[in-house]
Amino acid sequence: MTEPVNMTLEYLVDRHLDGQSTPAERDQLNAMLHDDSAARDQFVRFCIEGRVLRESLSAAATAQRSKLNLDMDTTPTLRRSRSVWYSAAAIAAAMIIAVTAWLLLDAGSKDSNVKPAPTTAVAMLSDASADAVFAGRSATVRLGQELPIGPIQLTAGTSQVMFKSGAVVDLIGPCSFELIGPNQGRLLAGRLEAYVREEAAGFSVELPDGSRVVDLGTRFSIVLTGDGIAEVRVVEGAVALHRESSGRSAINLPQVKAGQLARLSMNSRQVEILALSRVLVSDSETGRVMAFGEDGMYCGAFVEGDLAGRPLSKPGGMAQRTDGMIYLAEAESNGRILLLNSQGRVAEVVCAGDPQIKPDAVAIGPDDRVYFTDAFDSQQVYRVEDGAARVFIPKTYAPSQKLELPRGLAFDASGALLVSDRERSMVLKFEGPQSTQPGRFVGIVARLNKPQGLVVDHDRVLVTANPSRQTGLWLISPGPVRPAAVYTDSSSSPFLIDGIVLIDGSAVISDWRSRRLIRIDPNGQISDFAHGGHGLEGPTHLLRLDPISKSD
Amino acid sequence: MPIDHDILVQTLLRDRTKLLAYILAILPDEHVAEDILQEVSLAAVRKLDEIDSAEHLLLWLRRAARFEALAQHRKRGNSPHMLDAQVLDALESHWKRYDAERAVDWADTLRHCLSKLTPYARKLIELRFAQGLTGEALASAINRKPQAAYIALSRARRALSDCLRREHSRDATS
Repeated sequence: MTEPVNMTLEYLVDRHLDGQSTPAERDQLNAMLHDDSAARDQFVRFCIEGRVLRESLSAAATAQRSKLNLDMDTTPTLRRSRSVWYSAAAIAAAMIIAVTAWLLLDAGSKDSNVKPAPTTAVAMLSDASADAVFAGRSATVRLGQELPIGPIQLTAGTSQVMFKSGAVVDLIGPCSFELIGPNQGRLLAGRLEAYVREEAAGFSVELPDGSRVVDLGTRFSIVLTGDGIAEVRVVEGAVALHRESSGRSAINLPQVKAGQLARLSMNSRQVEILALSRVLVSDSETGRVMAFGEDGMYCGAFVEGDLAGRPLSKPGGMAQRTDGMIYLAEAESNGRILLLNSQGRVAEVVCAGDPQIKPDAVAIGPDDRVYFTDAFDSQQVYRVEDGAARVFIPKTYAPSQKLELPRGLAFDASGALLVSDRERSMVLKFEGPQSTQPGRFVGIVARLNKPQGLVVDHDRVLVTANPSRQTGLWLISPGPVRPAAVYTDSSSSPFLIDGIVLIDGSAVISDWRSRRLIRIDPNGQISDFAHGGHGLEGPTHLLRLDPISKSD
Repeated sequence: MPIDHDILVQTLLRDRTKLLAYILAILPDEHVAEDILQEVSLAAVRKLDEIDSAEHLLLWLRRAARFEALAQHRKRGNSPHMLDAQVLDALESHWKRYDAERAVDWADTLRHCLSKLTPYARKLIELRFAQGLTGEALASAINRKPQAAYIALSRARRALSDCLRREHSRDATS
């Protein structure tokens, strides 16, 4: 057997950390580390890097495999503002140790019925973003510090408070919050997001007018707007609303359930409960479709794990039918097209797929059939017929004219098919299925740099593109091509847009490269759309889902 | 003056990854390392009044972890995967140099650097760290002999480490 001689330090360290080193390799590693200070430093770096890689990547892999959403896990997660990539599992494990230590050290009662003395700790500061700024009596608060009854003034950044009960509350600055018990808080201004585990059910948040939001085992957020409105959004489970009448007796208002928003007016004392639109995001890297509220609040996974007997793999384009059902394309798993109900459950495998075809963008034709592009392999447009994919627009769609990267697909108001070819920087028009020559090339609709997502909004046709130093949405029809919501960045490369939805005139785009969802308003201002511990790893296609239920 | 428990909780939150890396360097077994860290964390709670500063705490945690790892090593019949005591001593000052670093910051940079690797190097890293493949399993996943797989992996690790170092120095100078 031959032993490696003069192996590199990296090789020897990897073998050592894997418990695989031979006696000769171990001797060599010992000798290197004994004699060379630089080698010792590199050894320590390697050990730390290896551990960070293991915790980060194994968590991502687990998220891909698991039916569980890491952020929905029953263990409270500590969300970091800087890196959602960092292992939630590792952080949760750290929390277990930290909280164990905290509880061991604490002699106080966990019984929420016992009113604690003002100096008794009722919570712990379990996270704070790097830019978090506290003020007032909480100005000197530190990570891990116990918190007694009293105010928390967060003027910037985000922080997280874990109550003794186990309820976890994220405060998003500027925010004024008050701890009033081991399972109770009061929101005075700003916004919070609460995650309440089963054992902390009954956690309540008081509002400035004395109303109370009582958790029934769930995840919810509260925003106090400047005009005296409290918006209570329920992501999961349900909350009860209580309000005292003029006679000081409590009035029980209707429960607010997942997917609903309650608007409580502090002035008129009216309560309005609305069903919410959601934005679905395909995450190609973790094999999930995630749901967000219209305001970008993360609402949990819409689809993940096994679908019709196979794990969801590289989810891509989506399209919603008029009856609310949703088509979802998978780039892998043989390129299936799935039909989902509004709860994300598979109703039908519409197209079993073909290993040679990788569906990307999806659209529903005026003939109610499903059309999709295969941008990366065959570079053609397909129509699903009798459970199989049939070529609708071939790669060579006209003499000497070839599709190279057909990434966007939509039908305009007249029923014509529009295809954006990112590589050739043009949007093409073809006869629709109801014409006498379906699929015939009609002409070039627009020339823009790297066009991708196509959106048809009544008679308007919009497309995302990336001209030099610009990113956003252009109106290409009717009339001449002109910007609709375009962000200009002179300092860095523009976003790599994969998906788009329209919300109130703004474009919400996914940037696969930076793993962000970004809102571009009609004036070209950008902001982060998504917030909450969503853990997006590779956001691609987006779909705006209409409300699924009416208010009670 | 003994440190308060806030410091302990902060340290356990922030330095868990580095402490695990430290334990694994001594005793390369993930499950045992997790157990050791939990034991040491609880021991720190009990011995809090003997620890007088945050710096002392990290030192104390490492010392306790090394002691516990050696005990486990003996309990497991002195398995051969252990560095010399003299080398472990010499490494102590190097671990200390990283006391101020936060693993979460490394994670961000590593993510960026992973995207710079060649697809093959990235695949190796993912097989090793996402799927936890080692030895024969890693080699068969890429259809190579174990030694060749380790050499390829070590090159990928070096590229990643170099990128990380560059990014850190860029951060420091910007």
